Amino acid sequence: MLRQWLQARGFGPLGLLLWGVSLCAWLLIVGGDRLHVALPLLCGGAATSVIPQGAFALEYAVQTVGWPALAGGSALMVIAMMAPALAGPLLHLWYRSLSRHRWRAILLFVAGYLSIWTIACVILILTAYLLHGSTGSELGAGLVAAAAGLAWQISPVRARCLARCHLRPRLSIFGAAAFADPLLFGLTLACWCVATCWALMLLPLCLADAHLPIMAAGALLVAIERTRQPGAGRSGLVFR
Amino acid sequence: MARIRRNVWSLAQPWDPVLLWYARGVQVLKTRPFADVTSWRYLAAIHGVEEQIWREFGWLKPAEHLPQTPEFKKQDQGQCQHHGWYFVPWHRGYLAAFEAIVRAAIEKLPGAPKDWALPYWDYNSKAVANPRLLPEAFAKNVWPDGGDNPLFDKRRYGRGDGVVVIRPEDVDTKTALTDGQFEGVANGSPGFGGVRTPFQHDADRDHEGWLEQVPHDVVHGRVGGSQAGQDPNDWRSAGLMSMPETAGLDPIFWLHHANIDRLWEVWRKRDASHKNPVLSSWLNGPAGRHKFILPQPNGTRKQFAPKDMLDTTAPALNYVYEDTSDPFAGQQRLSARLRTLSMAIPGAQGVAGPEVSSVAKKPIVELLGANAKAVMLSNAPTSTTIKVDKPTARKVTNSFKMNEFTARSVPEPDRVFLNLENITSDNNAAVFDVYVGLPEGADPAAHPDNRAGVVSLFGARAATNMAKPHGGSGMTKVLEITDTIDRLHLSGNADLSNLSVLFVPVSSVGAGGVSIKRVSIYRQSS
Ligand SMILES: [Cu+2]
Repeated sequence: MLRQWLQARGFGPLGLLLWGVSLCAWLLIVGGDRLHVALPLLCGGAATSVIPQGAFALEYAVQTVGWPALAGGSALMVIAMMAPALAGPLLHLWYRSLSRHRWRAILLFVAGYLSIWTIACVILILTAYLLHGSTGSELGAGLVAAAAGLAWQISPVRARCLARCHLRPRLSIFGAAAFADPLLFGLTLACWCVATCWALMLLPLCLADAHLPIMAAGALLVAIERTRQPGAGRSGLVFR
Repeated sequence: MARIRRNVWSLAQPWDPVLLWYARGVQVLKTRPFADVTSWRYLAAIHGVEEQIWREFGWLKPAEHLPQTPEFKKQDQGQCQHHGWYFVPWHRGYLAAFEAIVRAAIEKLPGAPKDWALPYWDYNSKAVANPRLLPEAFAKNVWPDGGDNPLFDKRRYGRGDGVVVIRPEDVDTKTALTDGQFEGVANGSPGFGGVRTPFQHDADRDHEGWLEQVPHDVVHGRVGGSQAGQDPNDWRSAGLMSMPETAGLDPIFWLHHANIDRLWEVWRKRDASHKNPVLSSWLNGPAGRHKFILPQPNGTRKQFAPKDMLDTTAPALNYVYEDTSDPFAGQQRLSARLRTLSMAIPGAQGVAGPEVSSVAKKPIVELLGANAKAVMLSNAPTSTTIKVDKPTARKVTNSFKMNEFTARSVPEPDRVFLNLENITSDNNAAVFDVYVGLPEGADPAAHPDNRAGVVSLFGARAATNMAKPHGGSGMTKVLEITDTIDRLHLSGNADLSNLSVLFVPVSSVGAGGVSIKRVSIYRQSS
């Protein structure tokens, strides 16, 4: 009964698993977040030019939080927000790999995907620090990030990036290409994914105090957008 | 009494009253304004529409626009269900709505019949020498009432010069009708009716059933074709029937789909084990915002679900087909295969038989081999080689051994499927044959046994267009090659380390216009 109800609404076993993974990441973030602790301390502490300020912020972040926590926190955040959106790519890897190589392909993909996102997160954190420094407050940084994010969110360029998140590349099964293809898939998908969703990540990083509800809202948006059933109502006027 | 949908070939040629009244009805619908939900264009746009194409082809005058109603924009335009298990029930509802609107239009004319029903184009009919010809009422721009024939359209290019040429293998219904399963599985057998999907307009195009592939897609491409001497990769040269965005504008579309709908009845009736899905996600239609909803003769719109489409004699449908007899005399895919195997495997007689169950749990489908890089088709035959994974191939071989040595109630040996993955092309009209296991340099025409099937790229352009939802990743086609693999096994040449695949263009394949990301084979074990 419940299974059929869920299936009719597009929740397969994989979908449920990914929501579970996302939930676990959420719990870990709620339980012990170190990513945001450094943020308030920086308020007002401003150097005059942007470059030294950024270098200072990075140094400060590394000193207070440490590289592993910085990277780990970023990865957790990405997993929490993006896991449900990965159902399509993971199914592609699962069905298009030899059965004994399925998990290997998924691991390579995830490694590629997370590495790009972690780098992106570090850049986004620095951006958040800089916005803090230049506006002098969390709210100011949040407003700037929200304005830039909104402009991006409704731009046609973003729509094109989103479309590329649906690409399903060829997966070779023999030789070096069998390792390279899933890894490359993860790397490229993450690039399009970052381009599509950076604003949703930047906003909670800016507003440290309210980051949990904002992240939750962002995660919901991502999940709806990626798994939405494409429907009749759209104008198909765009030609390449 | 239910109305009878007649075979076009059992009607008087060229202008039987059924066709003449159809033409008159089409003429009435074509004069109605686009915004009228019972107009020719509105009904065709429900199947698919793209403003730029309609303008270029003259279906939108410079001053005209697509209807601006929220119903049209949000729900009605481009509702057609392809590449999935809603294909047959949605099109049944679509045909019924169209037929009711045409009938209502005819009935207002003097001398009209009261029991008009849409005829069907049976391209396998025994009534005439070549049932695959376009019926004359559609083929020439003349008709008894004078002026332009409403059933004729010059954007019907066929082989390129306007002559429709269809080969018997383009409309071979055997694979579809002899498969006992309605629902299929991804990468393995897609089943008669397709793989489980959500609401499916412009979504992933990987899941079409046997019936949708052949004859449905192939007839679209062979009738529409593309204009000789023009670039087939440019949509401007395509025929109406070649593209989902324009197919509903061609009057022959409706007779073609009436035959597809009839074949669903033939499939269901030809064997007691042939059953439609019973899952509520199929019966009650797609979950989510988008429902199936279609215009009625009085200008209202009515929602429906597959469960309303199961009985054609129900009051809302109220039709039967002139002929739903079984063209294959009860023959079933599974029993035919097991008979061949048991005759060839010594000591296996009596093993393979009706006690082998065709359905049980969900089958295992796994990748068995793939080629080394993407293939680009051209207007000459193109080949590629599939390298097979040895450990997985052993599973296939073992599935045969079990058959040799086990005494009773054995599972069917593995079936094998060729997958043409993520085909991208701007050419909707391309049709090509696929051969598997041909010796190098062999003439494909001399090896009909190695022919895996025919592929039509109906709908490929939208699947390739990144601006469309889920666009860009192309479409995937699945062909069964179990027979060829069986023969290799029986000939003792079971070392399947390399398998050649040859693509032979049939029509409208231009140079460099069709790319297949990966050519692979999958095993499916029951
Ligand atoms: Cu069709």
